[in-house]
Amino acid sequence: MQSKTKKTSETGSARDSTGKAPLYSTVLALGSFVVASATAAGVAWGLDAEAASRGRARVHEVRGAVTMLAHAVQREVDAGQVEALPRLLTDVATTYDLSTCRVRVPNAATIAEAGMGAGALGTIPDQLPTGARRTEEIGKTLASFAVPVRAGSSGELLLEVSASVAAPWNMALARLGVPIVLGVGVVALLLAQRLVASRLRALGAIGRALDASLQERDGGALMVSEATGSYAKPWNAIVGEREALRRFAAFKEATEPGRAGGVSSELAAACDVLTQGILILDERLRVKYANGAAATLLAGKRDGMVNTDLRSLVADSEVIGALEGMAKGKVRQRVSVESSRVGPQGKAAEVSGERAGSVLRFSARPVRREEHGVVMVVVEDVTQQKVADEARNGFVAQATHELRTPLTNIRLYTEAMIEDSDNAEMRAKSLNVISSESRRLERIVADMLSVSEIEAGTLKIVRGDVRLDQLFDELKEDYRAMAEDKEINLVFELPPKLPVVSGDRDKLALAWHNLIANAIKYTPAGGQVTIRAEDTPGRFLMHVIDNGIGIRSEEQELVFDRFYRAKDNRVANLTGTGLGLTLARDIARLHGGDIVLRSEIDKGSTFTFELPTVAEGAMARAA
Amino acid sequence: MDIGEQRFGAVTVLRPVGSLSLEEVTQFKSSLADVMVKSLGRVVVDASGISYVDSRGLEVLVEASDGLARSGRALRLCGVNELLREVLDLTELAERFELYEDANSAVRSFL
Repeated sequence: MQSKTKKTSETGSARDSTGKAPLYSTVLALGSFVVASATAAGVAWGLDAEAASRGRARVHEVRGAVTMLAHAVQREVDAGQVEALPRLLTDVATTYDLSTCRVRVPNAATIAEAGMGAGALGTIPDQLPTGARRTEEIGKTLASFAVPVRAGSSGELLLEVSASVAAPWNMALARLGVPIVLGVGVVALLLAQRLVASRLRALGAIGRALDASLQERDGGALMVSEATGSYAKPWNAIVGEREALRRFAAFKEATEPGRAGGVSSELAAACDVLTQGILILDERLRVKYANGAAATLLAGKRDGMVNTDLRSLVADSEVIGALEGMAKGKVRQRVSVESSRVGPQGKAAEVSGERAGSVLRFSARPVRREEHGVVMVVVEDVTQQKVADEARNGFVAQATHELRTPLTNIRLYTEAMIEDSDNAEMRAKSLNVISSESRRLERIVADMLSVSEIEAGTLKIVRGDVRLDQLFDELKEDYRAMAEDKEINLVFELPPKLPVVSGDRDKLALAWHNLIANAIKYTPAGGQVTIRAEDTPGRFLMHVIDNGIGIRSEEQELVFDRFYRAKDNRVANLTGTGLGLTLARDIARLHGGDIVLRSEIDKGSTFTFELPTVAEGAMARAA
Repeated sequence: MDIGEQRFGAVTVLRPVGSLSLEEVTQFKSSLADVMVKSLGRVVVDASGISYVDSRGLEVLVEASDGLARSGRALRLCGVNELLREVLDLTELAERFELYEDANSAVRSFL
């Protein structure tokens, strides 16, 4: 595309230069000629007019002189001073440049004449003719005047004057000079035009190229044909250089991602919406690029990540070692390392000092580049997955143990019954054990199911009217035997009238079972467990109070965590899934209430289950 | 203002109780920022205890979410009550957050 445009524009400018130039010269020459002719004609006309006006002025001048002279001659003649006439005539003739100036008898002898006056009479004859008249003859070159002068009574003399009225000689020379000067001027102009035209052609071509480039936005269009003149070559060199720079810049932009630019800034923005951190490291493990998530996970801030040594951000030598090997090109396959020691030296300590240090997974892969090693690292926060994995593993171990105990009891008593089938007392005892153990199994399974429902987000409460008096009767029944077995004093402090509340009966029963079973389990023999119900306005409170082993304050929140079991040696000997309290609190919260724990180590614990009764509860109570 | 802090595994659930407005918001803001740093952003705000929220309160929530947005995430809110829901809808800020029904599902979203 580019080369094609370039070609057409070049041929275009070439055609312009060859096709327009002769016409232009011809027009210029013709124009010069016309102007010169007009100027010459004008000057000639001016000269003619000047000559004519000068001729007229000369005639006037001579006529005036003649009239004046006639008066003077008349005076001299009247005075009889004829001898003074030659001098007068000579003076006037010299002053006014007259060719002839004389006084004579008409058609006869001369009496006085300007100049030497040879042959002049010097006297006035007695007999003089009369009837002479004043005459003027104005020719192209000569003006002649004749004026009669009375000489006493005898007759009239005639004053004859002639003078040249032709243009002076330099007029003719000027008339000849003008065309010569003009001719020389035109020739000089044409020569100058020839000299300038070649340069003007190049400038014209550049101008047209600039016009064209405005429309085409293509560097190639700026090139002009070198036939257009001397400026074309340096111009083309400049344009060529600019074009090369432009292509180089475009090439660089296209081949180097991560630079500021249209596509790459979009790419950077896209990387910033990833929840996984992305790092690009050079061979010396310096950060070349870090997206938002990587910056947050490793440094907690975005600025100043570029060119930071990764070793200052990650303290774990295992991670650094793996990445170093890759950066140096020794390792070429994918490497994945998990580390809980993140952040810079000081920061790592701070983070690991936290209750649960974060675990980051670094997955690294070499990026193939000829020159040197570049490593791309994906950083993921896998803390929650780790915690969940550990918990699940712990749960499986616990659950297996929990399930095994009742199953073993059931199998043993069943075997005992089979072996000793006639012993009625033995059979009754075995059936009791089997019954209670299968209820325990049922509860464990219900717990596990509920937990998995919470896990899947499908645990829902189905509200109905719950008759609390019935529920407490069941609880009393279920735990009396268990408390007696452990020699624990189980006390129910219930108000005389228990309300009917809105809630999920099965879930509430499950939660309260867990709370009471826990209290009995963690209270040593001889202790007391009190279940106190309180019907306050807006909420129903059930306190489960024991004087058992208690929970340390730093563990009081943790006991509600899934699979968490207190780090107390006395607890380790007791079985449990670590699900009971989690489940109880979730159920309380699903009902819009909560469980509050007050406990003191070695003194006992109080779990308070708060159940809102306003709104739904109020209606149930009215019913 | 009472701010409950509960850990679900590696996730911290903050449950401010009371009105999230001018006077009380500073305390909430600092504890949110604190938890945010400590747990690398694994935070859920349980809004079920929020009885009232004003512009300052909203601002704190949006700021926290914008901070997380720099690493491609958003603030997770759960138990958003009718009032807060309406405020978020009216101010068209709801899409700046990830909303969950309860803390459990919000916590699960970190897996």
